[in-house]
Amino acid sequence: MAYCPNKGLVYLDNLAGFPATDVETVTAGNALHAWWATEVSNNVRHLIDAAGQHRVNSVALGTTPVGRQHSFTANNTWEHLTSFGPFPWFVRPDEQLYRPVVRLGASVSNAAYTLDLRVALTGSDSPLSADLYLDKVEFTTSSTTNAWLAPTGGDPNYLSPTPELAYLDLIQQLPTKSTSLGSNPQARQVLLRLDVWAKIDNVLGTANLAGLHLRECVGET
Amino acid sequence: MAANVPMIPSLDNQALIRIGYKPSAQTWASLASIVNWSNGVGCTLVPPYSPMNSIATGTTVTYNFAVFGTYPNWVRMWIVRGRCASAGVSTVTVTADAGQTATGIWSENGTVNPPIVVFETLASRPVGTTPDYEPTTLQIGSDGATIVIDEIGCHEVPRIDLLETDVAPPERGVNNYSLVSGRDIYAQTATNVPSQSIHAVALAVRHMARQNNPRIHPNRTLFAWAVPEADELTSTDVGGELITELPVPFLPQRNLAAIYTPSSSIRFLFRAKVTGAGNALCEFRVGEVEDVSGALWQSVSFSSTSYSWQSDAFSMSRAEETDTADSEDARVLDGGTPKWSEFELRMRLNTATSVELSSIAVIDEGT
Repeated sequence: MAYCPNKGLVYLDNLAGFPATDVETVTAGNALHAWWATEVSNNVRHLIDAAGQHRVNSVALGTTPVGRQHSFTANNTWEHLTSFGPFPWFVRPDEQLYRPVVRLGASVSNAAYTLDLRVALTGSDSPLSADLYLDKVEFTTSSTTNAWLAPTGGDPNYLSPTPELAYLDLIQQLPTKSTSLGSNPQARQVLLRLDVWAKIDNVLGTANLAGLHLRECVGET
Repeated sequence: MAANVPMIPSLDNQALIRIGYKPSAQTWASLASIVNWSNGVGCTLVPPYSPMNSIATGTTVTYNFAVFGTYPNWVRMWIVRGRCASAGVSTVTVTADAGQTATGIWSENGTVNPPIVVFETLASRPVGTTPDYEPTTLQIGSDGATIVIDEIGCHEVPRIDLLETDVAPPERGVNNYSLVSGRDIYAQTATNVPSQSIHAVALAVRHMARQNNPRIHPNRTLFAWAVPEADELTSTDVGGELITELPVPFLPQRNLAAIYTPSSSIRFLFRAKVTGAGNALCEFRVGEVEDVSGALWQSVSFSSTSYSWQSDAFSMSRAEETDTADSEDARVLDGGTPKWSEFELRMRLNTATSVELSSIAVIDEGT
């Protein structure tokens, strides 16, 4: 389970049977109830559970929508199709990355061809390589109709970056505002990049990337 | 710097909260850390998308967005990726709404062009005391060759500390020093400095539970899309013309616990206009459990011949324990298929001559 057992915030002053409001509980002289403190703790923990963002969400859009198309230069060789990023990524209290959830929609120009696609999550300044990634998920299609694809090889849409991954290597410093520091305060944040690779068994074919979705979730804890 | 915003939230030991145990400042310090993190870490305002529009050399175009910024986050990071449409080299300039700019050099081999990143510092707070969608713009100019824009995205930059205030500006930072081990735990009831000790933690969370505004913890922009007006979508279809090639996946937040059977409001904003007298519609339908095909269309009407933002909200029901639209649902692998909801969009002509659409935003308004 995630960090909050309630799976949501609880109004402390709406708990049936409990007369005190959250504000009254902290009035000087009032006893501090353990149940109240537990609910506050759960509410705060829920903030971690619910913080995950949609970091990429792109669908071909238009009256005649066309996705990102790629013409190949070789058979059965990974070729770079597109990238997104850098974008922020949250780190859990156990110092593991929030878990990525990926969806990919695509098609190929000829039903006789087989198109393989690899979605790879990596550090924002990592070299561009089909074999360098924190984690990946792969898809395949021979359909000429755009559709959301199921992952291949038993890989889930739900990626699991290596637990012992050194997130420290992924941190970048960004300019921000501060209430007390002088000029040029810097915030530290993990920044990632999403790379999409494609390969095909016939160089005459064309890949069409029609949709890509990436969001964070807190994942198993 | 007493209300620090950590890069990583620390976690309290709930086993220390029980009858007969002394309240521990260390426990409450951890909770304060999480509250400050949630308030200050920021959110994604424009989930990166592919506009796929072209910009001719010597031209600067404008993208219009509607964003719902987080109150404490003054600095935004815009990312633009692209390439030259054919052989050539272009100097590309990106200008944020507040005036900050950045340039890059792009060639035809767009897959290796580095992104252009602009850090925008706002001149004023993003929102007021009621939910308000802030229109903002991004300009991109090309000098040298026609370029194609492959990605636009925008993310708030985290704060490193917060103001310890409850009144305007209410950043509601919790004073970390007030919870140092060895200090008394106390009720801070002064209305102008409710930023210390246990009271501050409870007050900050109480405001979040009530979705008090201005918004001070990460919300979710689920989808965004914008193209320059010259690349607007146009439709004359009175039966409705689908404009999303695939149903768009999303998963909204679940803010309140199941005992409240909460609903969630998803707001769809369109920037559109019509040609000719009369009106036209931008429409959406939502599949709460993945399949959108049986859902009903909801309409947003446009009757002006000038561009404007109009919106409508969809209320997602939350049956207890269904977890259909629950941000925590993906916490369990269950064979590797997390849940999501989907929406589709279309344009439908009514009495006008045509309808034109240049921007879309889909925002989770929470409970």
